[in-house]
Amino acid sequence: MSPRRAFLQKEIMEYLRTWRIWLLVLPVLIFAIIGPAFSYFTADFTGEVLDIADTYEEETITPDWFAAYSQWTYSLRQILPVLLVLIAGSTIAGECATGTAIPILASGLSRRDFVVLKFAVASGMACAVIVAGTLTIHLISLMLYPQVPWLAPVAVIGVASLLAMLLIAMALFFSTIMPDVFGAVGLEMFLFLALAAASLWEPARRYSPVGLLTSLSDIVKYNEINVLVPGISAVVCTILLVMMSVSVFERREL
Amino acid sequence: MTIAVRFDHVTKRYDDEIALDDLSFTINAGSIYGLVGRNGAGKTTAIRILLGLAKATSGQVSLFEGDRSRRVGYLPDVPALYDWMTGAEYLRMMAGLANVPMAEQQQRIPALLELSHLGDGHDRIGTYSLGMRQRLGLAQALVGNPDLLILDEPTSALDPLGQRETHDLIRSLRGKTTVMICSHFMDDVESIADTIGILENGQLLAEGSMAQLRAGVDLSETIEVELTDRIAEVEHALLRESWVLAVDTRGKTLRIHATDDEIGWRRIPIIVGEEQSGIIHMDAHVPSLEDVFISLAGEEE
Repeated sequence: MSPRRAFLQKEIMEYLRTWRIWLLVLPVLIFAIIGPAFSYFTADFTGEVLDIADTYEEETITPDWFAAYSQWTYSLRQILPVLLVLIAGSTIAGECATGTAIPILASGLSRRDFVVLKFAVASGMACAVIVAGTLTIHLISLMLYPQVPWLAPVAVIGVASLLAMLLIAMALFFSTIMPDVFGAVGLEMFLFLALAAASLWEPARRYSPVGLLTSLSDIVKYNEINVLVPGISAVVCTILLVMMSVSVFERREL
Repeated sequence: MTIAVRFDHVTKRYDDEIALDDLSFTINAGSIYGLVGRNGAGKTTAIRILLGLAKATSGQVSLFEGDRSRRVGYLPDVPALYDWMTGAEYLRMMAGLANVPMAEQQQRIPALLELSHLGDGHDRIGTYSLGMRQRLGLAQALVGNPDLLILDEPTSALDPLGQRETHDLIRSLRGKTTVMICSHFMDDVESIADTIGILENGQLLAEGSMAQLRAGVDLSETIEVELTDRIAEVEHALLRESWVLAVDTRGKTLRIHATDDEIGWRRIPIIVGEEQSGIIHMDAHVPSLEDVFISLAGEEE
């Protein structure tokens, strides 16, 4: 077994056997399941309330697949960054603080492999959860509504996965420069809020990875949304952040 | 003779603090080297530089004269392990990281689990006692069949039996694996190391075999006497004798430094009798590494 494979196995096992899997999977799947249900019953519920209140004229609201997907993408945009910061943000800082990284690095695994494999596994897990959540909502939507376009899950998975990888790369970077786990997670949270604030500015939305944040909630609704530039810039930023993380970690004293 | 470890004028500074001060020493391949010193003397810094976890401010460190194919096993002073793994899984991971072939792993891992008294290794590490964690830490350091084994305080969490087994294990590696033991427990080092380095404030105060270290600090053999009572009276009487250089008193035991041991062996029972005390035990005391260390560290202070 090669050193890389041994470390890759350990990383995957660590996700599957510790709190990480519950924190990542449970909230995402819960939102994936309750999203279509909420959208389906909201119209009936609203109608009942309006009828009892007798304030407005009765208005027919027809539930559709779009309402279900909007609920899902909105939830994903809110919870995914927080979950990824909590999961990936503590990974390198935590291993250095507890000392578990020391025998691993002393045994011959390079620091570059340590960082890159951590990024790969965190990204793989995040993408798997996004795929599972989106397919869940797609199947439930297919059961409830007559026509759900096949492009909807593809677009959501694509944009959410790019966003997830960027957030993980950011989290890893702060995790390599900050020796303190809580300090690293705090910095990442602050940066995510800054990105969310930047998404209010049109040029940032159009030409930077910030655009992925808004695209995630709009991509199902509007066909004309252009995610090409934000997507490419997100990929470039992700690669740069991983390279910077490797460079910082290679120089860091443990 | 191949040089396994070479420290060549290594200095390490942290801001204004000097952790290692122009440190130079070598370790011959296949030998057991003990690096002793009090807490904060620079032992762990030396290990971290050796493992590439920290960089020297100046000077050079080399392993096996630059041969990168050599394997290194490391036991940290406090073994940091993954609590969610089982002992066997942890050893498999470390074996994989050391590139040990699967067939070899299947033989080595059960043998190491047995040697470490960890049963079949199917319990989660989170349930292990401190001693079990240290034994697993030693097993993981050995699982890659290392050419150099670096042990930082290897017996600090072990009971006396565990300490003896670890000492025996380290002795059994002599000639096959180079072992570097860093400890402030002198017993860890005295009985098993071929060469001992005494580190104080980042500097090597002395280096050599145990006999060379004893000769270097000119610590003579002393006579140790355990008395029944009237300790102070006997001590005062001894100090009046011209052949007595000094008397160290520890409870009911007197350690007497004499100009002439023969006179001491003859006169001590007479003086004890004159002072109406009795001898429980009387023996020659050979200076230990602890005595050498205290003598050297005292001179340094």
